[in-house]
Amino acid sequence: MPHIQSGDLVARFYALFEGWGIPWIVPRLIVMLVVVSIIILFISVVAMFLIWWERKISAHIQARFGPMRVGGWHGWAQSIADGVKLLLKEDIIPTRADRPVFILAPMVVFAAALAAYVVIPFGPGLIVEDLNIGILYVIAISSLAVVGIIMAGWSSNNKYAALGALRSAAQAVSYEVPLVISLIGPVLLAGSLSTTKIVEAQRYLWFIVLQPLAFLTYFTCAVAETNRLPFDIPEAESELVAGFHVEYSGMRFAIFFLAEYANMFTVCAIATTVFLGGWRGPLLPPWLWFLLKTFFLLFVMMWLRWTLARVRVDQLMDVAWKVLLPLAFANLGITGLLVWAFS
Amino acid sequence: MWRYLRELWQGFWSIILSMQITLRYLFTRAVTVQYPEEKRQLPVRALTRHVLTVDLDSKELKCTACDMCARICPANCIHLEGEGKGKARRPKWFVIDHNLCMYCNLCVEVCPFDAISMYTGMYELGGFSRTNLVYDMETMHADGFYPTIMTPRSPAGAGVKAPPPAGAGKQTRKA
Repeated sequence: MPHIQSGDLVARFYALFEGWGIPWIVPRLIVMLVVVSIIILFISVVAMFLIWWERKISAHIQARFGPMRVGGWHGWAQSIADGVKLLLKEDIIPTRADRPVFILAPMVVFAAALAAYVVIPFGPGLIVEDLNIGILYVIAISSLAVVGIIMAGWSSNNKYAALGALRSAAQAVSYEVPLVISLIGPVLLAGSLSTTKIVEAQRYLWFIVLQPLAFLTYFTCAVAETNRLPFDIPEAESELVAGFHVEYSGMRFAIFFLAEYANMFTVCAIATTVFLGGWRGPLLPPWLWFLLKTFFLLFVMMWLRWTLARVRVDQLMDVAWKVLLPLAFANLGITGLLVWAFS
Repeated sequence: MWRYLRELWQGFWSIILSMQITLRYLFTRAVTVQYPEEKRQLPVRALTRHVLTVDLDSKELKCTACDMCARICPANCIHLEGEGKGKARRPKWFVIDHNLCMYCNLCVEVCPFDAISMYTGMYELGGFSRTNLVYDMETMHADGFYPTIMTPRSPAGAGVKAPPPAGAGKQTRKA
């Protein structure tokens, strides 16, 4: 059951309903609904901001302005206008597509992106549910998105979509391995899989100082996991039009887009939690510190996107298996030895 | 092993260097001109819409309807008819079809009386039909001074105290 900030309030809410003789499931469902609504609202706002921000950064790196018209100040309402446009667009399902799977695919992708938000600690106590297997849970959930992508690619009845989905599956499966192994190092240091405990363990020193190699491998894998440049071959425009979501239009496409940006936020939030000391920081409130660090990592991701060119499929696999995996293993081994030696 | 590590380091370092360059570009000024709000300063002798220049004292058209421009025009876009004899000859009507004009400046160069100019800076030519781009004498009648092909690039004493040295592009246009 969720414990947002004040567990007492939730407990009193449950007790209130118990006193009225209403089945226990009703208040719990209400609380869940409220929490999920808050998270979805948060994801939407963040995704809208990120889309606008990315367009601005990409434009300024290329010495352009980017969106300038909608909403007055530097086109801040551009994402809202785009969202409204996508809502009003025709929802096309290809004639020979696998209808139920086609409709389900964006939902699966978005659900996977949404579920990861359960264990992100935005501040002390500001977490939906402090699972004692938090990191493991995030890793497990983030692999689920591949299922949705394969569903989308398969059901579209389009060779580009199918190829994009296959590539995406290969990429996600390959990069999952070094991603997990690079996360084990900090977990060893913290002695817990719970995200809150990991942040608590970084009271004196951020783990990026002790585990720079793990941070670099994790971040590279995270960029690959979210299918972003330079690892965006699942949706390489020059070869695959748009990859697995070629046939999607309107709101279904928007959900894919939303899930992509939600995933970006998740991986950066996990990086902040595990390596950058989570919500810890002087002067400013904890949640602001957390958001600042996360948005800095997101900025680095965008920065990287507009710096590097897309890699080939074989280069992609090379980087995963020949570079990141050995480095992650070396880091894990050295960390393990040191932890064993000093304890 | 060492080669592997060295290549790894080189790859990493090259990414850092390239990110430095993109970061520098992030903070350079955008080259975009926000067109309807801000407009670029055209060169003085940019070839734009025609104007029929006037004699500044008498405010009359310099054109004598000699038909030279119409005859040299490769696109055949100038049509005019004169009236009157000798020195009193003036155009009755004068039409330039800007659907056809290719801005070659030949009509200006051939004009013996300096009566037509393309140095007007009027480049926003748009219309909802093709006839909107056919300009008649009234539209092209100059309302004041326009630089022509005979105007010196840096006029000595034309309102400017010290003529800019080799500042051909600096000359301000009176319009």
